[in-house]
Amino acid sequence: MDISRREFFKNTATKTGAGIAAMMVPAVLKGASQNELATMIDLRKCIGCESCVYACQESNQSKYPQPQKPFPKMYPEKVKVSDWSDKRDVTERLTPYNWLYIQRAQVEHNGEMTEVSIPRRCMHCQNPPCAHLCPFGAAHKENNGITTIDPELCFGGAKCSAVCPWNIPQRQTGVGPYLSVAPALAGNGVMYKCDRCFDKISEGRMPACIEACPVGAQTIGPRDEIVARAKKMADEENLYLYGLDENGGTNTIYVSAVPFDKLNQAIEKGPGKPHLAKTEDTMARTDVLAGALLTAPFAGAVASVTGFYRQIKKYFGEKK
Amino acid sequence: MKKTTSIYPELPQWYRYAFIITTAMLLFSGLGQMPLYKRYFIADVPGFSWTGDYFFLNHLHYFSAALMAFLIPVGFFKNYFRSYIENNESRPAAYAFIIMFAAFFAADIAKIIAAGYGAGYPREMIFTISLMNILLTFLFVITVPLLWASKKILITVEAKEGNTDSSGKYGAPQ
Repeated sequence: MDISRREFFKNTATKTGAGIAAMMVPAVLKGASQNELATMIDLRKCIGCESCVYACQESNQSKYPQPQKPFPKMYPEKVKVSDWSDKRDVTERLTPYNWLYIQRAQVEHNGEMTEVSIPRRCMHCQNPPCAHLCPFGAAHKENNGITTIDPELCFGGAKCSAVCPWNIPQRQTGVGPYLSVAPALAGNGVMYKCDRCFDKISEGRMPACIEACPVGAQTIGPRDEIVARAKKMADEENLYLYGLDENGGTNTIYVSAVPFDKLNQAIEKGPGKPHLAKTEDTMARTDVLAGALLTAPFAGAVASVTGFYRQIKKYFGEKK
Repeated sequence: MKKTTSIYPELPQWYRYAFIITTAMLLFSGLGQMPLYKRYFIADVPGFSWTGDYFFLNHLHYFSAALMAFLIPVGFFKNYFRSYIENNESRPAAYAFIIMFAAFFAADIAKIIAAGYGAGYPREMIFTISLMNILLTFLFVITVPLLWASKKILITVEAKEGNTDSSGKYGAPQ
């Protein structure tokens, strides 16, 4: 993405103006009550054909980074460049050019060796740390439960990836607004991840991966319905669920005949290759502290008004 | 007749220390929200690895923000109202400081609410709040040390007739 300094400041001014206007819009008009969407991925059905992977790449081609080379020098010099622009055809892990990949696991379950294919991408958490902790609001959870990263706002600090329990977002250097500000001193590109084809969804269409799946392994719908269906399947067919409670709840529910701790042991993990382990709610403590923060001014006011009243009483008492 | 008055006339010692420490914690953890400490390898310095822990910095930021949210009304009511009633004097710089700090702090709280609980809020709104938060922080970082560090954090006010302060309680007379 080629953004000139003038364009960056123009965009900033426009967004600031729009933001101020947006603050005046009541929440009801913004559709804050809309239901979140969730997807259910039935791993018993997935055959690992990668149709979803290629459909994702084709559908999101226009959103992929077009970095400027050579990359600007960064200080300190040991700051690492993340360049995937010459490895766009990599499909065996998550990259800025591959937002969905198939993870494979060979496991023994009930005395049988089974191969399980697991489509991996952003889980679209209900309480996403990437959106909570992004310093510029570039990562943002939408009303419908989709978490997206705005490439026009992201500076590529990779904080979203560090706080994501699965380290999903991937960075590409040489692209984005940091180039127009101080590329040597701040920023390092843009972070990319699955946006669950939010543009298609806003037009009432299916995400590319779901549309392309030949076996219907993925379904999408309102979260409460998807969760109810997944739980029912798990109860009736003795299946295992992943994503329901992970990180406080996600909008991606995996259904499997094999326990997820077994799958987690069998899969290859590492950069761009997320785990399947149990994950605590990373934002739980922050939520408690946020609650304390919101009540602290009132506590301070009550304490000081009480003290102030005593002081006034004492002052006028002394005067008399 | 002119006299000089400290803009922090009656702040007790504990309050000053609490304010300075909390402000320092707020700014340090706030700067850490932009991944500066990792970018500049401060987190790699022995003993400073915690500066690379975003959750710790986030908790520290919220905790110090909660402390500050408690301290601001305490300081405001306890000191400024009292000095106003007792001495019938207003301190424009003090109020300017409070307004600036309140704006900075309000932007901080707005950022926390919008980023954390603003699902469905327009991204532009969150961006604006984030930008305001950062700009006000820098404004604060530039202004406050100038006020704090110098012993001449004195403003000159026109003393009203019958309100001369020779006790030095509200700052050294010039």
